[in-house]
Amino acid sequence: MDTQNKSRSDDELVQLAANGENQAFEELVFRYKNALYQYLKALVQDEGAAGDLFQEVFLALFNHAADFKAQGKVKSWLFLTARNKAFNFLRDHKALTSLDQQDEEGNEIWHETLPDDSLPPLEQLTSCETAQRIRECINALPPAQRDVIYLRQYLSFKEIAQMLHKPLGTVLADGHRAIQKVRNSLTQGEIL
Amino acid sequence: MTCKEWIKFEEGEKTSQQLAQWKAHLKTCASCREHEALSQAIGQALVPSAAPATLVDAVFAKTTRKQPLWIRWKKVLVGGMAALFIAAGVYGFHQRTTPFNQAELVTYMSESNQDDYYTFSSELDLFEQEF
Ligand SMILES: [Zn+2]
Repeated sequence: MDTQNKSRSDDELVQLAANGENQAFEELVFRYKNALYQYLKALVQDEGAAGDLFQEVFLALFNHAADFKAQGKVKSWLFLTARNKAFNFLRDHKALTSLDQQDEEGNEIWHETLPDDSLPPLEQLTSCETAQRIRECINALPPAQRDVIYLRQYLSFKEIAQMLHKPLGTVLADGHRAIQKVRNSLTQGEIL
Repeated sequence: MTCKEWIKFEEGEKTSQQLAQWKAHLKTCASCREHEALSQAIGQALVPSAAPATLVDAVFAKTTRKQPLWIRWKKVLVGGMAALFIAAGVYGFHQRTTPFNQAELVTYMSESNQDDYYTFSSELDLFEQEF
Protein backbone atom coordinates (compact mmCIF):
# COMPACT_ATOMS: atom_id res chain seq x y z
CA MET A 1 0.00 0.00 0.00
CA ASP A 2 1.30 3.38 -1.03
CA THR A 3 1.68 5.39 2.20
CA GLN A 4 2.06 8.59 0.19
CA ASN A 5 -1.55 8.26 -0.93
CA LYS A 6 -2.75 8.56 2.65
CA SER A 7 -1.63 12.17 2.79
CA ARG A 8 -3.09 13.05 -0.62
CA SER A 9 -6.32 15.01 -0.98
CA ASP A 10 -9.43 13.42 -2.46
CA ASP A 11 -9.02 15.53 -5.59
CA GLU A 12 -5.43 14.36 -6.09
CA LEU A 13 -6.48 10.74 -5.62
CA VAL A 14 -9.31 11.01 -8.15
CA GLN A 15 -6.91 12.59 -10.62
CA LEU A 16 -4.42 9.76 -10.12
CA ALA A 17 -7.18 7.14 -10.32
CA ALA A 18 -8.31 8.66 -13.61
CA ASN A 19 -4.75 8.14 -14.90
CA GLY A 20 -4.94 4.46 -14.05
CA GLU A 21 -3.24 4.66 -10.63
CA ASN A 22 -5.08 1.79 -8.97
CA GLN A 23 -3.70 2.37 -5.49
CA ALA A 24 -5.08 5.90 -5.51
CA PHE A 25 -8.56 4.54 -6.18
CA GLU A 26 -8.14 1.93 -3.45
CA GLU A 27 -7.11 4.65 -0.99
CA LEU A 28 -10.37 6.47 -1.73
CA VAL A 29 -12.27 3.26 -1.08
CA PHE A 30 -10.47 2.77 2.24
CA ARG A 31 -11.06 6.41 3.15
CA TYR A 32 -14.84 6.31 2.74
CA LYS A 33 -15.89 2.65 2.91
CA ASN A 34 -17.01 2.63 6.56
CA ALA A 35 -18.99 5.86 6.45
CA LEU A 36 -20.62 5.02 3.11
CA TYR A 37 -21.59 1.55 4.21
CA GLN A 38 -23.04 2.91 7.45
CA TYR A 39 -24.94 5.60 5.55
CA LEU A 40 -26.39 3.16 3.01
CA LYS A 41 -27.38 0.71 5.74
CA ALA A 42 -29.07 3.54 7.65
CA LEU A 43 -31.07 4.58 4.60
CA VAL A 44 -32.17 1.23 3.17
CA GLN A 45 -32.09 -0.70 6.50
CA ASP A 46 -31.09 -3.88 4.71
CA GLU A 47 -27.52 -5.21 4.82
CA GLY A 48 -27.69 -7.08 1.52
CA ALA A 49 -29.08 -4.12 -0.39
CA ALA A 50 -26.61 -1.76 1.31
CA GLY A 51 -23.77 -4.03 0.18
CA ASP A 52 -24.97 -4.02 -3.44
CA LEU A 53 -25.38 -0.23 -3.48
CA PHE A 54 -21.97 0.18 -1.81
CA GLN A 55 -20.35 -1.64 -4.72
CA GLU A 56 -22.34 0.40 -7.25
CA VAL A 57 -21.18 3.69 -5.72
CA PHE A 58 -17.49 2.79 -5.92
CA LEU A 59 -17.89 1.28 -9.40
CA ALA A 60 -19.43 4.58 -10.50
CA LEU A 61 -16.48 6.47 -9.02
CA PHE A 62 -14.02 4.16 -10.75
CA ASN A 63 -15.77 4.46 -14.11
CA HIS A 64 -16.26 8.22 -13.91
CA ALA A 65 -12.99 9.26 -12.29
CA ALA A 66 -11.77 10.65 -15.62
CA ASP A 67 -14.85 12.91 -15.99
CA PHE A 68 -14.59 14.19 -12.44
CA LYS A 69 -14.34 17.96 -12.48
CA ALA A 70 -15.93 19.17 -9.25
CA GLN A 71 -12.94 20.22 -7.18
CA GLY A 72 -13.18 19.62 -3.45
CA LYS A 73 -16.41 17.68 -3.80
CA VAL A 74 -15.42 14.04 -4.04
CA LYS A 75 -16.85 13.29 -0.61
CA SER A 76 -20.12 15.08 -1.38
CA TRP A 77 -20.30 13.29 -4.71
CA LEU A 78 -19.89 9.89 -3.02
CA PHE A 79 -22.61 10.57 -0.46
CA LEU A 80 -24.94 12.10 -3.03
CA THR A 81 -24.49 9.09 -5.31
CA ALA A 82 -25.11 6.75 -2.38
CA ARG A 83 -28.18 8.78 -1.41
CA ASN A 84 -29.62 8.72 -4.94
CA LYS A 85 -29.05 5.01 -5.26
CA ALA A 86 -30.62 4.37 -1.86
CA PHE A 87 -33.69 6.45 -2.67
CA ASN A 88 -34.06 4.74 -6.05
CA PHE A 89 -33.83 1.40 -4.31
CA LEU A 90 -36.46 2.41 -1.74
CA ARG A 91 -38.72 3.84 -4.44
CA ASP A 92 -38.46 0.65 -6.51
CA HIS A 93 -39.28 -1.37 -3.42
CA LYS A 94 -42.20 0.87 -2.53
CA ALA A 95 -40.70 1.65 0.85
CA LEU A 96 -40.64 5.35 0.12
CA THR A 97 -43.86 6.89 -1.17
CA SER A 98 -42.41 10.26 -2.06
CA LEU A 99 -39.52 12.43 -1.01
CA ASP A 100 -41.78 15.47 -1.16
CA GLN A 101 -44.06 13.94 1.42
CA GLN A 102 -41.11 13.45 3.71
CA ASP A 103 -40.21 17.11 3.32
CA GLU A 104 -43.78 18.14 3.90
CA GLU A 105 -43.98 16.13 7.06
CA GLY A 106 -40.67 17.56 8.22
CA ASN A 107 -41.66 21.15 7.55
CA GLU A 108 -44.88 20.69 9.43
CA ILE A 109 -43.03 19.56 12.52
CA TRP A 110 -40.58 22.42 12.19
CA HIS A 111 -43.39 24.94 12.48
CA GLU A 112 -44.45 23.47 15.78
CA THR A 113 -43.04 25.16 18.84
CA LEU A 114 -39.75 23.68 19.96
CA PRO A 115 -39.63 21.88 23.30
CA ASP A 116 -38.91 24.26 26.16
CA ASP A 117 -36.79 23.91 29.27
CA SER A 118 -39.54 22.05 31.14
CA LEU A 119 -38.56 18.73 29.53
CA PRO A 120 -36.76 16.29 31.82
CA PRO A 121 -32.97 16.53 31.47
CA LEU A 122 -30.99 13.83 29.71
CA GLU A 123 -28.69 11.87 31.96
CA GLN A 124 -25.61 9.80 31.29
CA LEU A 125 -25.62 10.53 27.60
CA THR A 126 -22.27 8.90 27.00
CA SER A 127 -23.06 5.44 28.37
CA CYS A 128 -23.12 2.47 25.99
CA GLU A 129 -26.76 1.82 26.74
CA THR A 130 -27.67 5.34 25.70
CA ALA A 131 -25.59 5.04 22.53
CA GLN A 132 -27.61 1.96 21.63
CA ARG A 133 -30.86 3.78 22.41
CA ILE A 134 -29.76 6.80 20.40
CA ARG A 135 -29.13 4.55 17.39
CA GLU A 136 -32.54 2.95 17.81
CA CYS A 137 -34.22 6.35 18.02
CA ILE A 138 -32.38 7.62 14.94
CA ASN A 139 -33.22 4.51 12.94
CA ALA A 140 -36.88 4.95 13.87
CA LEU A 141 -36.93 8.48 12.41
CA PRO A 142 -38.60 9.13 9.04
CA PRO A 143 -36.05 8.68 6.18
CA ALA A 144 -35.54 12.41 5.55
CA GLN A 145 -34.62 13.11 9.17
CA ARG A 146 -32.54 9.96 9.51
CA ASP A 147 -30.79 11.13 6.34
CA VAL A 148 -29.80 14.53 7.73
CA ILE A 149 -28.62 13.09 11.06
CA TYR A 150 -26.34 10.61 9.33
CA LEU A 151 -25.13 13.05 6.66
CA ARG A 152 -24.15 15.46 9.42
CA GLN A 153 -21.69 12.84 10.71
CA TYR A 154 -19.74 12.95 7.44
CA LEU A 155 -20.34 16.44 6.06
CA SER A 156 -20.78 19.97 7.41
CA PHE A 157 -24.22 21.55 7.18
CA LYS A 158 -22.82 23.83 4.53
CA GLU A 159 -21.65 20.87 2.45
CA ILE A 160 -25.03 19.16 2.90
CA ALA A 161 -26.85 22.31 1.77
CA GLN A 162 -24.65 22.58 -1.35
CA MET A 163 -25.03 18.89 -2.08
CA LEU A 164 -28.83 18.89 -1.81
CA HIS A 165 -29.28 22.32 -3.40
CA LYS A 166 -31.17 23.50 -0.34
CA PRO A 167 -30.75 26.77 1.55
CA LEU A 168 -28.41 26.42 4.52
CA GLY A 169 -31.21 27.58 6.84
CA THR A 170 -33.47 24.74 5.70
CA VAL A 171 -30.78 22.14 6.27
CA LEU A 172 -29.94 23.56 9.70
CA ALA A 173 -33.64 23.50 10.57
CA ASP A 174 -33.96 19.87 9.35
CA GLY A 175 -30.95 18.88 11.41
CA HIS A 176 -32.16 20.66 14.51
CA ARG A 177 -35.63 19.18 14.18
CA ALA A 178 -34.20 15.68 13.81
CA ILE A 179 -32.06 16.15 16.94
CA GLN A 180 -35.10 17.38 18.87
CA LYS A 181 -36.99 14.26 17.82
CA VAL A 182 -34.19 12.07 19.11
CA ARG A 183 -34.18 14.07 22.33
CA ASN A 184 -37.93 13.67 22.78
CA SER A 185 -37.90 9.96 22.18
CA LEU A 186 -34.97 9.55 24.59
CA THR A 187 -36.51 11.56 27.39
CA GLN A 188 -40.10 10.52 26.94
CA GLY A 189 -39.54 7.03 25.55
CA GLU A 190 -42.06 7.91 22.89
CA ILE A 191 -42.27 5.83 19.76
CA LEU A 192 -41.66 7.97 16.72
CA MET B 1 -29.94 35.92 20.13
CA THR B 2 -32.59 33.45 21.27
CA CYS B 3 -31.65 29.85 22.11
CA LYS B 4 -33.26 28.66 18.89
CA GLU B 5 -31.12 31.06 16.89
CA TRP B 6 -28.07 30.06 18.89
CA ILE B 7 -28.66 26.38 18.28
CA LYS B 8 -29.15 26.86 14.55
CA PHE B 9 -26.13 29.10 14.57
CA GLU B 10 -24.12 26.60 16.57
CA GLU B 11 -24.33 24.13 13.68
CA GLY B 12 -22.95 26.63 11.21
CA GLU B 13 -19.62 28.35 11.02
CA LYS B 14 -18.54 30.84 13.65
CA THR B 15 -15.95 33.56 13.92
CA SER B 16 -13.71 33.41 17.00
CA GLN B 17 -15.71 36.26 18.56
CA GLN B 18 -18.99 34.42 17.95
CA LEU B 19 -17.45 31.22 19.31
CA ALA B 20 -16.58 33.06 22.55
CA GLN B 21 -20.15 34.40 22.76
CA TRP B 22 -21.53 30.91 22.18
CA LYS B 23 -19.35 29.45 24.94
CA ALA B 24 -20.49 32.18 27.31
CA HIS B 25 -24.11 31.42 26.42
CA LEU B 26 -23.58 27.69 27.04
CA LYS B 27 -22.46 28.44 30.61
CA THR B 28 -25.73 30.14 31.40
CA CYS B 29 -28.19 28.06 29.35
CA ALA B 30 -29.07 24.48 30.32
CA SER B 31 -31.18 23.95 27.22
CA CYS B 32 -28.34 24.75 24.83
CA ARG B 33 -25.91 22.72 26.94
CA GLU B 34 -28.19 19.75 26.60
CA HIS B 35 -28.50 20.25 22.86
CA GLU B 36 -24.72 20.38 22.60
CA ALA B 37 -24.39 17.23 24.72
CA LEU B 38 -26.95 15.39 22.60
CA SER B 39 -25.23 16.39 19.35
CA GLN B 40 -21.99 14.99 20.75
CA ALA B 41 -23.67 11.82 22.02
CA ILE B 42 -25.21 11.25 18.58
CA GLY B 43 -21.77 11.67 17.05
CA GLN B 44 -20.36 9.05 19.43
CA ALA B 45 -23.28 6.66 18.86
CA LEU B 46 -22.85 6.87 15.10
CA VAL B 47 -19.11 6.24 14.80
CA PRO B 48 -19.11 3.88 11.80
CA SER B 49 -17.91 0.33 12.24
CA ALA B 50 -15.82 -1.31 9.53
CA ALA B 51 -17.52 -2.16 6.24
CA PRO B 52 -17.33 -5.92 5.51
CA ALA B 53 -14.00 -6.82 3.90
CA THR B 54 -15.83 -9.03 1.40
CA LEU B 55 -17.54 -5.92 0.00
CA VAL B 56 -14.24 -4.09 -0.39
CA ASP B 57 -12.74 -7.15 -2.08
CA ALA B 58 -15.75 -7.32 -4.39
CA VAL B 59 -15.21 -3.67 -5.40
CA PHE B 60 -11.51 -4.27 -6.08
CA ALA B 61 -12.26 -7.47 -8.03
CA LYS B 62 -14.48 -5.41 -10.34
CA THR B 63 -12.08 -2.48 -10.66
CA THR B 64 -8.41 -2.32 -9.73
CA ARG B 65 -7.81 -6.05 -9.43
CA LYS B 66 -9.92 -7.07 -12.38
CA GLN B 67 -7.99 -9.63 -14.38
CA PRO B 68 -7.13 -8.84 -18.02
CA LEU B 69 -9.51 -10.18 -20.65
CA TRP B 70 -7.16 -12.88 -21.94
CA ILE B 71 -6.69 -14.32 -18.44
CA ARG B 72 -10.41 -14.43 -17.91
CA TRP B 73 -10.82 -16.10 -21.34
CA LYS B 74 -8.08 -18.57 -20.49
CA LYS B 75 -9.93 -19.43 -17.30
CA VAL B 76 -13.16 -19.86 -19.20
CA LEU B 77 -11.41 -22.11 -21.74
CA VAL B 78 -9.61 -24.21 -19.12
CA GLY B 79 -12.78 -24.46 -17.08
CA GLY B 80 -14.75 -25.43 -20.18
CA MET B 81 -12.23 -28.12 -21.16
CA ALA B 82 -12.21 -29.53 -17.64
CA ALA B 83 -15.99 -29.60 -17.62
CA LEU B 84 -15.97 -31.42 -20.97
CA PHE B 85 -13.51 -34.04 -19.75
CA ILE B 86 -15.48 -34.60 -16.59
CA ALA B 87 -18.69 -34.86 -18.58
CA ALA B 88 -17.08 -37.33 -20.99
CA GLY B 89 -15.68 -39.36 -18.09
CA VAL B 90 -18.99 -39.47 -16.28
CA TYR B 91 -20.73 -40.41 -19.52
CA GLY B 92 -18.18 -43.15 -20.25
CA PHE B 93 -18.35 -44.52 -16.72
CA HIS B 94 -22.08 -44.44 -16.87
CA GLN B 95 -22.01 -46.34 -20.16
CA ARG B 96 -19.67 -48.99 -18.78
CA THR B 97 -21.40 -49.52 -15.48
CA THR B 98 -25.04 -49.36 -16.34
CA PRO B 99 -25.23 -52.96 -17.70
CA PHE B 100 -24.30 -54.31 -14.24
CA ASN B 101 -26.03 -54.19 -10.97
CA GLN B 102 -23.78 -53.85 -7.93
CA ALA B 103 -23.79 -57.56 -6.97
CA GLU B 104 -22.95 -58.57 -10.54
CA LEU B 105 -20.16 -56.04 -10.63
CA VAL B 106 -18.60 -57.31 -7.39
CA THR B 107 -18.79 -60.91 -8.61
CA TYR B 108 -17.40 -59.96 -11.97
CA MET B 109 -14.47 -58.08 -10.45
CA SER B 110 -13.54 -60.79 -7.98
CA GLU B 111 -13.75 -63.44 -10.69
CA SER B 112 -11.69 -61.50 -13.17
CA ASN B 113 -9.16 -60.58 -10.50
CA GLN B 114 -8.87 -64.21 -9.59
CA ASP B 115 -8.35 -65.13 -13.23
CA ASP B 116 -5.78 -62.42 -13.67
CA TYR B 117 -3.95 -63.57 -10.58
CA TYR B 118 -3.79 -67.18 -11.79
CA THR B 119 -2.70 -66.14 -15.25
CA PHE B 120 -0.07 -63.88 -13.82
CA SER B 121 1.29 -66.42 -11.34
CA SER B 122 1.44 -69.21 -13.88
CA GLU B 123 3.24 -66.89 -16.27
CA LEU B 124 5.64 -66.04 -13.47
CA ASP B 125 6.25 -69.70 -12.83
CA LEU B 126 7.03 -70.25 -16.50
CA PHE B 127 9.27 -67.22 -16.49
CA GLU B 128 11.19 -68.49 -13.48
CA GLN B 129 11.49 -71.93 -14.96
CA GLU B 130 13.10 -70.56 -18.10
CA PHE B 131 16.01 -69.22 -16.05
ZN1 LIG C 1 -29.60 28.67 25.09
